[in-house]
Amino acid sequence: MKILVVLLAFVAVAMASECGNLTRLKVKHEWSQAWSSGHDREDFAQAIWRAVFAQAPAARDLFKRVHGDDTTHPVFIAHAERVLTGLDIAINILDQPETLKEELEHLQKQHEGRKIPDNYFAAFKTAVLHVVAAKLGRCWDREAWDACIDFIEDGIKGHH
Amino acid sequence: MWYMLLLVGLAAAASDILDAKRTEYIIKNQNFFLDHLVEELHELEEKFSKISHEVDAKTIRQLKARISNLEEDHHTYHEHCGEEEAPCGGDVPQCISDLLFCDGEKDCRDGNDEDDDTCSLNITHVGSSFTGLATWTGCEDLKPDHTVVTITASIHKKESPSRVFLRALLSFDTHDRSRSGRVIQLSGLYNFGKRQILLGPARDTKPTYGVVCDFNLGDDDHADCKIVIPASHFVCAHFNAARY
Repeated sequence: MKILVVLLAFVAVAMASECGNLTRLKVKHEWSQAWSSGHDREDFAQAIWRAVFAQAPAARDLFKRVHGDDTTHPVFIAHAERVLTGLDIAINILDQPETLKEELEHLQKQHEGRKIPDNYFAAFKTAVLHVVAAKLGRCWDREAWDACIDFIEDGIKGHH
Repeated sequence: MWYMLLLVGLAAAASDILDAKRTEYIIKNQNFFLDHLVEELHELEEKFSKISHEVDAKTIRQLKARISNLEEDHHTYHEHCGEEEAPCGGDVPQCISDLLFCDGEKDCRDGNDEDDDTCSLNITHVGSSFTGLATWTGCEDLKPDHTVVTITASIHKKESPSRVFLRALLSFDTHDRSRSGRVIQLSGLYNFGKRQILLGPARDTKPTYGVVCDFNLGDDDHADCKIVIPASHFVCAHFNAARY
């Protein structure tokens, strides 16, 4: 019995540190709660982008075309929702590796050539993790999100 | 001739003395009159002091808070806010997402979401203790007894300005032989918009209880708290908490 508990504990640790199958299902479920619907979605996106720019103010320059200087500008709101919809698609197909691969390749093509430094991706991940935590309150698994957002971002960057 | 002068001199001196006495008499009288007035005033003051005192501002704030809570419940006056929204307050009702409070950008028309009072960290100060008599309606077979929630750590990060991350301890007496009571480590967050503390089991601890406290009673020192099951938010106990 004890061995089983220890084994389970090991399995749990192993799951948490990488974006494994069960971790993906967990992230998928928690995302569906956080991403919710309607107007809340717009505010969710708004909060994430404000958090990104709070960490990396210089990143606004990359979003000149979509009015990155004012996150409440309709053009930027549209952009913010577009980005999070992309993330929504990626998270929703976390349990379908082949489709996920296609999607990540598609996103990678959209991002390559834009000279996005890795620390901007890190800021985006931190922003997502914090806003999801703020929205879900207690029941969410930080390690799981950390691992799976890393996995998705690596796919978009094309490297680790 | 000299005789006449002397007489005039004497008369003048006498009238000087009389004048002085009369002035003294008038002054004395005026003083008596003033004393009388002061006495009457004291009597009045005494009577006034027997009238009940003006209600202190705190009581009024608490009353207003209770009324507005009821109004919100019946959505008569206030625009009813969505589950993930909080009211801006002020004269013109408006709801905004609770994720947009205190992030440095004014989202309420009146800018109330960035107001110093709204964004005060007073509630979440480390060492803040909120205590009350918990009445258990489930989960434990305990008589009503004192329960304390103490904040042991609080972090306000720029990545999530609308929340303050918290660590806290929940303790209550179990009345068993050990007399040790129960102390449960919690972690969670304070939501500026909702004025709510939400605590769940700390990482790597057994998920037993969580705590939800609503600071909707008009100040930072009183809250409506519940001890809940973390996953379902099923209410186990309820206590009206006061800071001490």
